[in-house]
Amino acid sequence: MSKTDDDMLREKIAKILGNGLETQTEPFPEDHNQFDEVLRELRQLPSDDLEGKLVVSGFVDHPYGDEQQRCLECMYYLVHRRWCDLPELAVPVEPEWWCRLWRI
Amino acid sequence: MANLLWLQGGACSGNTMSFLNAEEPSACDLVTDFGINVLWHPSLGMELGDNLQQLLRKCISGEIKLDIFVFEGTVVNAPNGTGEWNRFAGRPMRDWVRELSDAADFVVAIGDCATWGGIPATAPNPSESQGLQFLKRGHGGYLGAEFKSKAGLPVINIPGCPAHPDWVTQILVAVATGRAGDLALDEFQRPKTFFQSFTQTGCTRNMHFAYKVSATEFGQRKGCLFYDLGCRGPMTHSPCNRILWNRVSSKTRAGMPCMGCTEPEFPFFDLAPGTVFKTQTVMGVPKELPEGVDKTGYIKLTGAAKAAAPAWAEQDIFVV
Amino acid sequence: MSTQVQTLDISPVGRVEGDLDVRVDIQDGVVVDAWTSAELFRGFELILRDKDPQAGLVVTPRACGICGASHLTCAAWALDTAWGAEVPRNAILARNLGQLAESLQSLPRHHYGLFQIDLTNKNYSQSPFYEEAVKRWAPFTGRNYEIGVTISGKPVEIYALLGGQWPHSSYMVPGGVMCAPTLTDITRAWSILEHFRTNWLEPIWLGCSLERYEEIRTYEDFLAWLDESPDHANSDLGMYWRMGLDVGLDKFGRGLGKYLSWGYLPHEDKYNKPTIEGRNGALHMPSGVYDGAADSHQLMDQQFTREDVTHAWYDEDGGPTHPWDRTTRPVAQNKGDFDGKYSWATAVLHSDFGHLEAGPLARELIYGGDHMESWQHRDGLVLDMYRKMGGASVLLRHFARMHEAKAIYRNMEHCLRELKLDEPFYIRPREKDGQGWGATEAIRGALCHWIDVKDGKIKNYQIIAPTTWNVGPRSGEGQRGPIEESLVGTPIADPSDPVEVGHVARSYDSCLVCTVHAHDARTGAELARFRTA
Repeated sequence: MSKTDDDMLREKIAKILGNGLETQTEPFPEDHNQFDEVLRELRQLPSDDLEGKLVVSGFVDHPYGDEQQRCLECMYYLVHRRWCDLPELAVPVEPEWWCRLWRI
Repeated sequence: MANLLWLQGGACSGNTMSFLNAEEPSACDLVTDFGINVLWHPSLGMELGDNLQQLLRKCISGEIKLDIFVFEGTVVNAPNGTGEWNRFAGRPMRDWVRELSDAADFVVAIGDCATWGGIPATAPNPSESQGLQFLKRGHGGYLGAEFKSKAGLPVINIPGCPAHPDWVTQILVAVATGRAGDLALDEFQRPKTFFQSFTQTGCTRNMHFAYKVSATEFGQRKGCLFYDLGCRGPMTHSPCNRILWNRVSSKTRAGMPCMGCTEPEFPFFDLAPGTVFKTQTVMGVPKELPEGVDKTGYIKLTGAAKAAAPAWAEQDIFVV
Repeated sequence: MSTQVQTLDISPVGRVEGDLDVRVDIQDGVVVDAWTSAELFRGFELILRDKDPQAGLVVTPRACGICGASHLTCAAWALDTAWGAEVPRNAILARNLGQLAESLQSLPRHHYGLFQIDLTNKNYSQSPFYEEAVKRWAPFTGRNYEIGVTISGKPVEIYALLGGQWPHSSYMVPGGVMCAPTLTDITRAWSILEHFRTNWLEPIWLGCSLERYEEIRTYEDFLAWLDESPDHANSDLGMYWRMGLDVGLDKFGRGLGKYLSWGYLPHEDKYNKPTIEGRNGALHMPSGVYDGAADSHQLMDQQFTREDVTHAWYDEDGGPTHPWDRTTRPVAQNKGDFDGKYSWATAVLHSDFGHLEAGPLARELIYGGDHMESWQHRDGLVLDMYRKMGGASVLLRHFARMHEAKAIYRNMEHCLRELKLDEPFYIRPREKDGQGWGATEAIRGALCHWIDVKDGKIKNYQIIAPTTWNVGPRSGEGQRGPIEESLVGTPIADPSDPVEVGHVARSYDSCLVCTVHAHDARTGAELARFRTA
């Protein structure tokens, strides 16, 4: 995917989130087993179901929670590509976003 | 000249196989160049001209001097503490082990089975296995916490599943050349010369560890295995990335997470569902952090690493 | 000549792996009956119960430090079939390559370290070959012993390039392999192979090029090759054959004449969606059962497998059982009772053929058949020798093992040639419940694992190793196991040093250690206890 495609998709996601898509931000997976449960759900979605991905993983377009967690510090965030490297997501993101698959 | 006897209990022969991969010295060099006289070994036993049991009894009585007793495999105690599930030369192996350990100048436990119990001692430990002087972390094992061989040392533990051939040959050379006095052992009776540093020391994925780039699944050409795939390299004491395996690689270099096999708990979590090749986490943070690092420090480090990460860290580094 | 029957208990025989006791009855210097007892129980099936589905990838390679790659292969394919994983072609090649590297290692290591030492036994000091045998093969100090044992460490360097170390890596996982080798790994692996060929395989073992050896298709070709040049006759292979004939290794160790192989090396383009049923049609090296008496070949299938615990130390109901239905309940008191239970090994049976012999001889006899597809491996040499020499023997069984160097080497080259470095090595599978089966051919024979995953954990895990087939005790119907049968007819020149029993046990490359106890069969009194080597 070229940079331009990434940018377009990122804008598209921003728009969906901006329009108030309700996503499953809770519960935050307490351990790796619950984390795996969310991954399992993601893998069952059709590969082109972008909204489904955002809903299941609990995407929001702002930092989240008491600790104001955000993509920028997340394990899966690639700073230079502005990209989520978790294979089940693999989408362009913004550093100030968040989802419940946040890991460090 | 040092007489060496090598026996196997609840064993897979993996340490013997590993030992045979040695070069400089090779197994043959130990005999021809370092004067190590192999009295008997289950895979390599030389012509004795006499029967094995007599040989063992002569070692026990002192008629044949037993300089080094090497044991591979667990001490099997089943059923009900009798050891009948592992009979050797007509009687439970555990009985031979006790008498030979008492007769030997040095007792060397090779591999996880002989050191801590290893795989056979995994719950429910059907063979009632123990290591020579430990069971998992518990000091004591079969010979008891107070055991000292004739030279005044406890069992020298060379763990690993299997142990690296050089760890074995170098210790044998140390003993054969009169350098046993230089052996410093850690709290688990492992020679510090090998087991002070970490498996991660020298790992080719260290830069990805530093910049917090994960190998998110197998078969990738980038990333550190600690974050997702359960690698125990930062918490495990071994020289696997200093003294390479089979001269060419190590598990972490090849993309396989370290399973911590030089530590007493191996296999970790008794292989309970959800624990194999997966990093254990609590609220998004690894449950076990690199040795000596606390959670606050780890979180700060992550922020700094992400901020500092160069673009190349996001690309494949081990390219075709 | 005395007609008294002596019983010889061998405990342990040595230079086979593990703990095996052999009891033989000897009459007029010949073994007339035999019993084999496996003496070690570690309970791997019990350890695996209720564990993570992937626990087999960690535990089973450690069942055997010699055939760990084969166990890992079985564990991975068993999970692949249970989970319905997709396995990319690179991963199949990388798995095959690793397993082949382990097998190649085992050829010189077993030959010099375990088998050939016996020919330096003083029993053979009358042979004109003896002096040279000692020079070459004496343990630790023999010229070729040292070369052979040292070079045996080389092939597994290739395994380490893929899995990080040998033994005991777990680099094969459902959906593929953990590694993604790069160009330098491939070129290094080629170099190691070349080194092995030019430093041992050709100059020491064959005394000719691999290509020349490959021209041998029949027994006559082989004999002509021996005569063709002193380099051939005096190579370690030539010496093995000539000395073996001289000391009579062709005269005993016949066995029961029925053989099995699971086949191995799944084809990189035919087993990407592995199923239990689809395996036979997707193997480079075909599976089969060979019945020597009927001279017939057919395919082998896991559903024919039965385990009979009548004479084994397990307390389980019913007659011969398929491994999926086993409960693995060891008895607490494992007293040796040769009319009752006397081994930790079960008697493994084919539902139609009963006991079968596993191992390289079995494989090679099966490769001689015409029951396979045209693209599958075929090689009629050993079958031709078997027919013309009147059946199996210690000599032929060990020859068959060493003959495999040829196909192993070529298959490794194939893997290295076919790996496509820009294609994937792993496709993440979806974990689910189900039953799976994985099989392969370890160097010493047929190995397979059955797994049953339920509620995200292992409900049942069963392993049948080649040694279980070979070293198994009598069946419920009283038929001897393969090694037991093979020992019958073995001449014992010196009951105080029965090296011949060691030859038979080691020709099977059993993963067990044995010792001999000698008994007077009539009075039951123990005469002596001896190692066989």
